[in-house]
Amino acid sequence: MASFTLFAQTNKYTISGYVSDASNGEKLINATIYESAKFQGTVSNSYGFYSLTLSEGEYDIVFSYVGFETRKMKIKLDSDKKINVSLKYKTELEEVTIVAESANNRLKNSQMSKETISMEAISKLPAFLGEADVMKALQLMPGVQSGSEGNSGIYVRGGGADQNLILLDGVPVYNANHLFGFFSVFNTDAINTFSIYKGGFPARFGGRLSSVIDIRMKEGNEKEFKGGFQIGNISAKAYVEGPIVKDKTAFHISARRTYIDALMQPFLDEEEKGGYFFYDLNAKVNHKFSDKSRLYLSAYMGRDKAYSDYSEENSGDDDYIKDNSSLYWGNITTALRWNYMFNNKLFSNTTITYSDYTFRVGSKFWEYSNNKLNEFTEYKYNSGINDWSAKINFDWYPSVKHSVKFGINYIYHTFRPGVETLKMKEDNNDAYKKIGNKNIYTTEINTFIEDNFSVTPFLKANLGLHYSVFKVDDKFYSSLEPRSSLSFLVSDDFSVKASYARMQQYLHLLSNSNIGLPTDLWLPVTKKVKPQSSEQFALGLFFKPKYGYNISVEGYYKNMNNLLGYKEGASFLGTAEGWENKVEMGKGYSKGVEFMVQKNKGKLTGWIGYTWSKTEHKFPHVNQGEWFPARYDRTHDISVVLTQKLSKKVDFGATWVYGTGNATTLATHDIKILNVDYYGRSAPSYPEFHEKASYFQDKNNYRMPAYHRLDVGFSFHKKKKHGVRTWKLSVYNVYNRKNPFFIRTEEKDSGKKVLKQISIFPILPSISYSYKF
Amino acid sequence: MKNLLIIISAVLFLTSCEKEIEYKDFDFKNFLVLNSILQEDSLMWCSVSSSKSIIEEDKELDIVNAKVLVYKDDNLIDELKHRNKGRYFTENNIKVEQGGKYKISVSVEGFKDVEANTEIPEKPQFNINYFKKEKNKYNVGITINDKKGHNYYRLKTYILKDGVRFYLKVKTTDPIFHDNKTYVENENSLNNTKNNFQIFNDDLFDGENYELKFSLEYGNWTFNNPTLNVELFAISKELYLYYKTIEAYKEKGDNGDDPFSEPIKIFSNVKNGAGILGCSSLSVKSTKIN
Repeated sequence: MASFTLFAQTNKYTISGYVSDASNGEKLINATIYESAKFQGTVSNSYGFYSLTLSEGEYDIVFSYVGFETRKMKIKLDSDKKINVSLKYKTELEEVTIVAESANNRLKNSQMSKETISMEAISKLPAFLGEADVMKALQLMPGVQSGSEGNSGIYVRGGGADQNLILLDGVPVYNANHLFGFFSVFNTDAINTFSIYKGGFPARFGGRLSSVIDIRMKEGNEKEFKGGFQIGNISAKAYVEGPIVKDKTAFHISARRTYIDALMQPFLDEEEKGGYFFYDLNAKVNHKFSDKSRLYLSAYMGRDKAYSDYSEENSGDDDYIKDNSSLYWGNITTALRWNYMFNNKLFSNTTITYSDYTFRVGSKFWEYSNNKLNEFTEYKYNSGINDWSAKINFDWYPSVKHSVKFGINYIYHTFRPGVETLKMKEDNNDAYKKIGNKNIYTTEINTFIEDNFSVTPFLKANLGLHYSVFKVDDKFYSSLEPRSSLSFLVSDDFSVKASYARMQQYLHLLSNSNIGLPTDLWLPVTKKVKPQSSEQFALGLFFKPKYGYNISVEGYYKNMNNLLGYKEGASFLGTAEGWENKVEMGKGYSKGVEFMVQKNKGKLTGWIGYTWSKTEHKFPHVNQGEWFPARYDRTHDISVVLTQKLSKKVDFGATWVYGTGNATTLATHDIKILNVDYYGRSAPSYPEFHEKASYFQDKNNYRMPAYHRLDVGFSFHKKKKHGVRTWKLSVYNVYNRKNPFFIRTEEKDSGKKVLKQISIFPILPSISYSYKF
Repeated sequence: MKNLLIIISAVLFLTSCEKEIEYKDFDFKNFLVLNSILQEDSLMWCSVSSSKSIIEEDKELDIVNAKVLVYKDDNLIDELKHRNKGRYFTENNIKVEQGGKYKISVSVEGFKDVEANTEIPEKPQFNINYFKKEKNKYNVGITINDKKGHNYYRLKTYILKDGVRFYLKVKTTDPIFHDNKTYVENENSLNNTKNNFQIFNDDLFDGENYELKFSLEYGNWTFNNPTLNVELFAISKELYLYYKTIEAYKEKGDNGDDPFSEPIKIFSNVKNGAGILGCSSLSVKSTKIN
């Protein structure tokens, strides 16, 4: 239907406002707003705000969002208009919405290398030990790999675990792991949307080489009180949200705690008490002063604690020892945010944030003899990082063709690289020892500008610049990073995209494990250890054939410089002292091709992802300066994800993953070495000083067996008087595949060495009960 | 803390299991191992052995039938002959010459030929400044006259008593002994290297005179009016790197107590095989207590 009327005059007017969920007032991010005749349009920003400037006339304006009913409004545009739109959730939908971005957006946007998964899909997927996890869901996307079995850490396009910028409401989260990486710190109850950028980074992001994970918390229900709880195998959680003042002030609080400690108690001896638990708490409150002004305060706090109390009587009641130890780590993040609309084309967001990560170890030991304290030792270790940050960002919509973002960000980092304190008291002699580095204070300022614009109706671009400076001691580093993404719409169902991004990273993660232990330390660049940098080129083809399918193919090449590598033999046992001597700078590259077929409509939805990739590193003094495969170099990576609404009461979800085994170093031979003794005597005078040693030619020379696993889950819903209850049954590793966690060799008496594989998770069923009202 | 680790392990590995797996798609073919340190003005020698793949049972590694050829400045000068336990010596009393470029090639039936190269450095120049006694140790100062360019050194000290050399361990906080980093007087510091081979380079004093102060602890030994002998070796870069990796390897062990540390690759400059062809030139100075 021709609903567009062309007028002779060229007056332009702006429609602006917010798009929100009708049921709870939550703002909808990336909702599409367009006029249906010429498909001129825009998308809502991270706060649901949109601005669309058109020539005077009559338009059918369409508001749409994935999983919600599309709303069409006939508008006579003869003056600027403010239109806030609420969209209704499609409750009668007989399919599971798997992505939080429309197929049209994915096809036509200049943005590439970005993936989203809807929170609905995550709730339908099988849950590990009953706990749905956004980070593990991300691992199912092409180009995103998991580290080791059960681990929620991610490795994006050949990048390391430290190269991911994880933002919770715009605040960096430094340690995203609970329980040594088996769970992430993000409680799905508290999350509104999340997305990952693997490349083609818009200029507003910076500071990490490989990915940006943008997680937005729920704002709170403005309309009515809602809540729910869940009880699973090892954890329980609950949330409540509602209006404090209807349509003006709303809050959301959610909390989660594990009870592994309680489950373990029956297995511990009488003289031994201990356990492990984690908890986290998310809270957010927002208040609308007017249509122009809104304030948000959000906070996250999470803690992990492992502890033990042990006592043993040696002989009689008067001689005994006591031992008390604890490990404690966690994050706190807070953000105070003020959205202000200067006019219908200029939107601002001012934020003050605080982020803290702390890790502590403590142990005490007492020895009593004849009821008298003989010996007392206390050991403490403290490390962490905290940031204060202030930033102001603007979204400016000068015309229907341009959407400009610009802003500036100031961050003050405090690094606490690790202080060990040892107190001893023995035979009335006190000793006190303190080892460790002083705090390091650094300042970072970054600024950016980007313009997302339509060059022609078929060609869209996002061009931008990100500039940053970083000061540590008296050393300044700076980086000018051009970013560009282009999209060319070849036909209505086919587009070609290309992108380039340069990134620089001023923080390093010293890790001794690759499994996300809390001992991992964040440290800044120094005079000697320079910032890591990367350049990534990507090219993609996007198809939208009929029947609800999406097909994409992306190829990328990323080179990385000043990568931090550990010298051979180096290890970090929780202290940063002397760390610069144990690392060296190297380079690396990653290249790959990612295929994705998504099915978004019909009873059965899901996707198949496949990645071929190669990642290699080179360091001057590692592997004798030769290239070697990175630990997480993964030639083939496949994920198959299916969700289906079997009936109104039953959902089904299944995932199957396959990955080439991790690269690891295996000593393949024994050789004789010239063990010239330390006092100078040597072969040939002393042939007995020839010793045997294990030897390997190339680092990461062995591939662990391939990893593959099938998980399934069923959700059974029932409507109750006050809400809906759900039983969720999940089975992890259905066919009980013994996947490698690590491998080691064991020498037999004959001198022959056998290879041993350690696996940690066999088939693991889990069940959870949840109730939402 | 131990109990805590047990609890953590229990949480992590509640359901873990271990099984033996096959080595797949892996080349376990053995190769030759050539080891030799050629010292200026000394007779030439080397040892030749076979590697043993980890899937084999223990076996004799020494190779007694190798053809070992020595080249100096690209000219064949000698063939080393097997004496015992896989060790090969010159039978022509040919000594290693300063400045010479040496190559050793080894052929053994059933193995790929291997070869390695090295260049004999000039003798180092140094003086002993003082040698003093203090409680249970001697304090020594020497000045090294370094020449321009990358130079690598090894220091050894001994006292001769009844015809027996008593080697004494060098102790110093001098950064050149500790990877050219500031030494922290703290036994727990990760910054401190043991430097058991007593090797260092001239990165901090390239082309300059450098005074190195150190002490020698003699413990329970008694020496009357001792004469100190200081041996300063100029060593090849390859030998320096070899010692570095051997020391790191010995610190860590085969698997190591620390499963999270990076594995050690023992340095090798032997093409198609493993081992080391290193070289050194020695200067010795003696002094009495002063």
